[in-house]
Amino acid sequence: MAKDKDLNFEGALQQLESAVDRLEEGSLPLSEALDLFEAGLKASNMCRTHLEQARQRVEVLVAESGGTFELTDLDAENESES
Amino acid sequence: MAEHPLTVSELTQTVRQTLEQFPPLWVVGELSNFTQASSGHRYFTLVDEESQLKCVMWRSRQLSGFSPEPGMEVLAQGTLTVYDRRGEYQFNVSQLFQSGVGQQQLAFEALKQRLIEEGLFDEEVKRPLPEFPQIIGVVTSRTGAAIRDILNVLRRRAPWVRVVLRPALVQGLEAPEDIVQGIEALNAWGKADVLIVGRGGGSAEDLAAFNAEVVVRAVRDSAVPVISAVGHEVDYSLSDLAADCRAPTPSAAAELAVPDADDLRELVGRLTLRARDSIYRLLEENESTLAHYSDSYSLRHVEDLVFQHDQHVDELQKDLFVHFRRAFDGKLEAYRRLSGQLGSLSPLSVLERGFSVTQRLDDGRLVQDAGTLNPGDRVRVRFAKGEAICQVEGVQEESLLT
Repeated sequence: MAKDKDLNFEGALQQLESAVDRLEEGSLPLSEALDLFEAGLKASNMCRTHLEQARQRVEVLVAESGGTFELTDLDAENESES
Repeated sequence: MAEHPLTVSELTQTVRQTLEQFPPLWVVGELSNFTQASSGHRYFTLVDEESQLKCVMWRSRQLSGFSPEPGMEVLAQGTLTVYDRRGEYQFNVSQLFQSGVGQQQLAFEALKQRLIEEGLFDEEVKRPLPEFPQIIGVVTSRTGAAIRDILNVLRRRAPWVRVVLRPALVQGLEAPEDIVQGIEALNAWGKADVLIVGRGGGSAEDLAAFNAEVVVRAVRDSAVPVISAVGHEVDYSLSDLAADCRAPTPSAAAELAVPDADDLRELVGRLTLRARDSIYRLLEENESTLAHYSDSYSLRHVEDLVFQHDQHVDELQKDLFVHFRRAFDGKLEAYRRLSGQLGSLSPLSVLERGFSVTQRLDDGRLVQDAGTLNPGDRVRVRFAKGEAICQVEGVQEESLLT
């Protein structure tokens, strides 16, 4: 459930942007450029995977005594309501 | 001594006639001593800090939809007269309204002024919203329209976002404390990137909780940036003023909170295509070097990479097409609807009559004066159908038509 965090869209997008910026400067040796290109593609794929994660998750925050919190899914309640 | 003394009645009569010459007046004041006699006539006094005004409202006059209570601020329309038997002047009321400028309004303005002076609403204390929030905390009613609207927008724009709702009453006496607890609980939980605090539209009274000082302070004190969404287009609640960002409705708050997935796809697609173009250019430049290594492993690797990449780009382009198509269809439909409404006002219908629109090619500015053009400038001319890129050959500053 908490694995969504592994895929950080923001970080991947920054990687892609910086790869493009450096590639467009054009003064890189070929091998370095290819490495950058490959890294950029990976970042691009990560971005896309992130964007396609289609399931919305909605939870309700319930405060427990002693300052701890519990999350329960809202979906089930919502569906029974409508 | 006195040659022609007046009788009491004569004097009263004269005063009465003088007072009755006043045109009908509006008077604002606080209601006191309201009594409705068994005859059905109402007697009351309007007061302010320094003076009193005796009033009467005859049975035949309707009270406009409220029940008078002591201390209520009211607006009365009527005429001045004298009650002869007592020698008192009084206000003969024809219409009575509950005044909008009551104590509550004054208290609201006073609180607002105090918080302004305290710097609670200053632009400098507002924080930017995160660009790519992963978790959005929401404080609103569990059953209201607000949470449904928010979820709808987020599902469409950013389905990967996790939403954590902290239900709170949004109207009634307990609402302020409940909203404060919601904001504090989400802060204590600590994982939300941004909060949306609000409710759907309602009357001014329904929105009162968002003007409560405790709520306003909780919004400002939140460690997590807050988008306020109190559904009222016209008036700002004090929570709106204290929030880092204000949205007119819960849906609008959700739109402000997250980037749009289609925009992001387009951005990623564009960047990826730029990466490809750069690498192709580089490969062309290095063609001779590459030929030298034509059989080497690293070149096969590069080839492989490029082919795979082409495939990836093809997919991207297909995706982009689908998304543009979807966005375009939506816009086309909206356009058809609008152009139906606008009829002859539409700029397009002007084009259809044979006019065209000219823009400078370099900066896109509309050309309204030939004098701003020079021979050699390039312009884009839009017709009802299609467009042409043209080069200016000559300029005539006066129109031949005028």
